[in-house]
Amino acid sequence: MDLFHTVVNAVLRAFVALFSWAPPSVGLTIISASAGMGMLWVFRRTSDQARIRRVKKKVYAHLLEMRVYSDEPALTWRAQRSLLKVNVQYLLLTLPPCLFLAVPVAVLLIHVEAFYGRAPLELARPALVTAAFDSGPEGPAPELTIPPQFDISAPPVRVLSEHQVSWRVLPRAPFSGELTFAINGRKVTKRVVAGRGPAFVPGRRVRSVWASFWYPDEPHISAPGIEWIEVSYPGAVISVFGWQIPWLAWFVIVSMLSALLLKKRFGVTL
Amino acid sequence: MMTRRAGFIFMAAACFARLACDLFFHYRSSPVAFAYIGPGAGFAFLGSFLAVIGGLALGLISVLTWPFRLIWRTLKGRQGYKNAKIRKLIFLGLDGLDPGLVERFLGEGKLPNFNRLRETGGFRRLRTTFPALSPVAWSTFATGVNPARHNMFDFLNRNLRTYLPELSSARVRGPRRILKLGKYRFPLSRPVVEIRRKSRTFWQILGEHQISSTVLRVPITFPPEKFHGRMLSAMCTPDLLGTQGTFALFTTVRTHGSMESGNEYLLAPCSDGYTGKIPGPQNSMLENGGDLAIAFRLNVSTHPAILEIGGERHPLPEGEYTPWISLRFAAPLGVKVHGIARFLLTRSEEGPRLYVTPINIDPEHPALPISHPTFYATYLAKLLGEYSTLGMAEDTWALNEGAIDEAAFLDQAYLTYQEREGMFFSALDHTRRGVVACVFDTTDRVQHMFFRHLDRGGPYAKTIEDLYRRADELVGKTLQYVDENTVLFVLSDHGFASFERGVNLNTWLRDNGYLFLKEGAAGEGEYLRGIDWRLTKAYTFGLAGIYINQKGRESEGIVDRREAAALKRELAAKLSGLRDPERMRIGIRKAWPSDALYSGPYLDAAPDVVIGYENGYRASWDAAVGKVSAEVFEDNRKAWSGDHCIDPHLVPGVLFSNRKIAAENPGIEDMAPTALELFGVPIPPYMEGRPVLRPKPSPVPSEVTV
Repeated sequence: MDLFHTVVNAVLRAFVALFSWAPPSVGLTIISASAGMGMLWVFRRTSDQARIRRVKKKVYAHLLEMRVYSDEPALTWRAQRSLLKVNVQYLLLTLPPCLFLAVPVAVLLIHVEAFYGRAPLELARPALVTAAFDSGPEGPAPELTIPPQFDISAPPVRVLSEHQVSWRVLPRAPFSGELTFAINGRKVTKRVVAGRGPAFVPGRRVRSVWASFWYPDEPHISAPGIEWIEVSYPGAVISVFGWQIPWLAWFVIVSMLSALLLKKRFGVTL
Repeated sequence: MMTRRAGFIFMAAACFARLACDLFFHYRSSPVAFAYIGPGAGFAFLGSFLAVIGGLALGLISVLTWPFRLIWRTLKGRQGYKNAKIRKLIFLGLDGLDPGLVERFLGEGKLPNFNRLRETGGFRRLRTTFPALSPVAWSTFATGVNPARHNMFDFLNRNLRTYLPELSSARVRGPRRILKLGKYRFPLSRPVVEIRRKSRTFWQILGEHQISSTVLRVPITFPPEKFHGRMLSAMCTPDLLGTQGTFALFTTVRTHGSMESGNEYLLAPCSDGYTGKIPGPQNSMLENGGDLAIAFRLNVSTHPAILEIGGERHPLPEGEYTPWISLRFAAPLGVKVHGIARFLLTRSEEGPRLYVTPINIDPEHPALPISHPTFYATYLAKLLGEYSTLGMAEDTWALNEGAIDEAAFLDQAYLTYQEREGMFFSALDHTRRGVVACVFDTTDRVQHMFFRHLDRGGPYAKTIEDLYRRADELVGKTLQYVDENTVLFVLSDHGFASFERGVNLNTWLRDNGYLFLKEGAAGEGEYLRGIDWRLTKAYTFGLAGIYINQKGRESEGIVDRREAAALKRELAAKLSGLRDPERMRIGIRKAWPSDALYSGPYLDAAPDVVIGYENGYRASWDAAVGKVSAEVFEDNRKAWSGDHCIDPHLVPGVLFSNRKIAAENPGIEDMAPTALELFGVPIPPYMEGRPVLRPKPSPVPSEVTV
């Protein structure tokens, strides 16, 4: 799983680096448009296009039926029933391609989140670093070693019911490196980024291989006892023509628009 | 081995299920794992949502405005169904169904549903119009008046200025205002499309009383009229080229000379097959733009062969029609003209032959108005699939010219029949009250092309019997929609007879000193070319009769009005009983001066002498297009071997009903007043027909005598 994530991550890093000269919205737009095209390709190959076309025509037909027989309210209601029925059929027909798309699109979105969804820690503003354990941290608190660009502004706080320990750290200067935790004699690291501007900002680091599917930015933790470590980064937004919007919204808009514009070229009925 | 494989599949399925579950339920701990899984899902959910919301809004509007519409109707004094004696009236038109054949098959017990109708209701022979032609008869059906009041006398009308033929039912002209910018031409108005049939139809009159009708493919309804109801146009609706149906035949070796209503094109060989171009409509957006065209590629190296056209690939199983294939002709500036066609691949010794039906107007994106409301054609296409929109959908000329064989023609005809059935039953499904009128013309076309096989043995000897059996099944299915508040009429506009000998009346007129050719002209020019109008007193073209070259009416007329009246009688007398010297039989049973048959404001548009051919005879093919041939009588050698344009007394139609028919001698003009009476709507005084279910003798004599 780590290897897979590393490869995906490397490809995305290379891509983002290619557009580092431009505002983040440019790179994201290209990723989103490419994703839209990729999704069209998958949709065409995994859906029953002929049936989707037929059912979509029926949807239009029943909508038109309400106008064609507007003089007969009973028929209007009948058309409503038929419309609901064919809508359900349509949704069922789009289900298989959606299932096929679910995993690859989820992988893409989860990876892209690290590039566009989180901002580095702001300088001189405290942030929380939290570590979760599989059982209560009964012994001494794990030792956190920070780089010189950071201060620990408060001692660790234990949340016994959640099996968690939190530190408050204060970034003093731009930094991209690692925090080191000493737990039961073993060292565990967590990447941390502070400063300005867009950057690759990794999310939670987890021990479970399965959970690493959702948190793929760093390799999974191999040390026993610790479940995950997380730095509370502020969220990032994308600036598009002066509008500040969440990256996922822009991704949805661009991928849908590109699909809409290119569906004929791809021979796809959505 | 199997166990390991099954285990693997199970593991994979379990992993996938877990991932899917996580995707949908785990988002709390991973905010990006939203259920956004692509534009497909996005559009699906958005589209469905909008469709449902749109549907609800339309439904609500319909229900909320219902009381206001009711009040408006009451204030306008429209009676609606208040005086109606029935809830529903169904006209099932079976074009050309012959009473003689019906009686024969009834006698043989082959038409159980017709028999049921006859037993429980009634059956009569139905008088047809002069001449016994579909555009004339169905116009009388719709209006309840004689042709001199609705102005339909034939398929073609002559232009009094140029003597050239014009479509009698409709006129289509380009837009009135065009903006010229360099080589581009931008239409500033819509094309002018006018119906030339006059008078008012019963569905218009019913509509004025808020009684709705669904009128499907009743001839001479192009362009469609606005009325309270729904209409799909029929006979005389052009193809995308603006003609009444022009097929294309692609071959590897030129096998035909010129073809009537079709063109032959050569396929160009390429690496894996052939390429070609389908000619489309004129490019009117460019000065001298020529015709638009769509290139195609025919890959014959695969099985089945593949047709690549418009960026799509269609399998072409040999000997089987494709479904309707969409053809989008690209005009400048992104304008697209939409048509549909079926393709049929066959093989001959010379190589593959690709037949392309006339390019029909695409009902989903109609280039011309073919329905009322305009979106009704689209609605039907979305609901039931694409369908033929051409006026005469069955390509009789392709069979006449040998572009397709009998089997292919029948396949095509019955595909059209199925489309029509779908529309008809959909209309019945959606009609609780009002009128449903639908005409099936496959019955006419198949008899035209297969009459020569009737009772003669061979593989097609039973084709007409099979046709009548299918019609019987259709009646059976229709009866399922008939209850005690429904009146059903099954009717045809005329019957059928064989067409063995053609009569060229231009030749007869020439031989008898009424028509003269210019010096050096042989009379072979189509549409009256080569005729010396300075000397010619009478001429013919079309199927109905003879026209007098009347002074003050025709641009080069020489016969004055008073003389014309005498000339009509003279010609009628001379032609009545005209004998075919070769067969020693009478070719023309009777001829009538027009004023003996018709009365009304459009009498001048009628043929001056209407010809009643004897059974077995008809206007010859040359006479129909205005040629003067060598002989008056000649053999008909075309596949088109049955006809009805003879003495109308010989080819009445049929009238079946689930109610007792009171009229002893009903005529097709009686149908419109019958419809009005059944819904309690006053019959306008100009209507000449009488309700057939009312016990009152018909005032029309059984045979016209002069």
